[in-house]
Amino acid sequence: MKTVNKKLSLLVIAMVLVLSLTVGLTLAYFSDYTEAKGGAKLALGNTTEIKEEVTNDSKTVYVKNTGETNVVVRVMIVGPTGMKVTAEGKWEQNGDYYYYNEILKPGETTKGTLFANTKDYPVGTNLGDEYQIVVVHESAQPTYDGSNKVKTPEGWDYIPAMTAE
Amino acid sequence: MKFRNTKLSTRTLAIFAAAVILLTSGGVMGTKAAINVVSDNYDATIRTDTLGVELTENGDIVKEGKLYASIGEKVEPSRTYNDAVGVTNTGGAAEYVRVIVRKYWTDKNGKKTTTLDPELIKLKLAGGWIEKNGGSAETKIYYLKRQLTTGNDGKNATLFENVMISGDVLKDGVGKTVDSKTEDGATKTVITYTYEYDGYTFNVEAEAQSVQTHHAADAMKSVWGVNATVSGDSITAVN
Repeated sequence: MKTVNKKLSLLVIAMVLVLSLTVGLTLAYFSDYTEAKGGAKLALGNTTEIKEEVTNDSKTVYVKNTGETNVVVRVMIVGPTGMKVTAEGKWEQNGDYYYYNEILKPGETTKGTLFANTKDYPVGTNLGDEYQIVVVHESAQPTYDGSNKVKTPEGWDYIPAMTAE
Repeated sequence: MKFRNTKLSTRTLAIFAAAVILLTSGGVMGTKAAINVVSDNYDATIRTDTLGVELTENGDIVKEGKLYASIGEKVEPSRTYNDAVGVTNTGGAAEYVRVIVRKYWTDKNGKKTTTLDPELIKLKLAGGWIEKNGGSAETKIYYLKRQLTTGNDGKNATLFENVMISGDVLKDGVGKTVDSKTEDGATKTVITYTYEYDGYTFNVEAEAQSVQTHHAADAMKSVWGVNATVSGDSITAVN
């Protein structure tokens, strides 16, 4: 009986060893992996400056993007009745405002002509000793639709058709 | 010394004769074996294919582990950047692939922040993937349903078609400063708008993993710890 128990024990140990080897082999599957990461900073906020070339009876208006983000720009010019405003190139009028129809990148200045003058007043018109031509400009950080077309900024009624590059 | 005349028994003699016969026949058989023809040696090379997977951006393998290198330093909110992120098979055998993606924000000092919702980072998922939650708001796991093969037709797969930061980041914390200065007799007023999250950075981390296609369900269970249903050449479900 003692010999039988010893033989049985050896047999059981041998079976356990064989089974454990089998289990170990099934865990060895082929695999591979790789990783990467990245991102970018948010560009928020905008700042622009008006630049004017002034003569006795006229102003030529430019707007410069002095910030670090793209902007869209519009200008209103207020002056004496009969003042004439010429908007050429990339400026287009809609209502009381003149809109620049291109996204202005950081450091860029508007191109084209936005020119207000009182030269063409009829001869003899008395404008008074002083009059003012007041220029008001607004800029906004553009937001885009799903096709990267610029959406009308909040509070504006209009925006020319523009698309992010 | 006295010579003893010993008579050998019949039995001894018989055994001696049998031994002689056996030795002689063994030698004869050995001579016959020398006639056998030995064939040439044939070499067989057994090669085990390895698996290989890489992340891609716009079709090119990502270099130095850097994603979105082509976007530039800054992004505009609500603008769609068509930088497509995907995977490609660089090994010698077909494989099943999954990608673990983490997206999160870091503040102006580079410290991770939960002030901004990771869901504001919009990654447009391409077709052909199963999306599963990864255990946190930041993490998702994507399983490519089909096999990534080694042929040109099936070795690449797009995961995200583009990336866009929601315009909602503009809604919080708007500040305004007004400066006036006089230049050439004219007064100029400069108004500057500032935003709470200016300078925050969006981050995306991706880890692509691949397993063999043979005994695929078992391989996925062992390597990835998931119960996947594989039908034909496709993963149909992941639990």
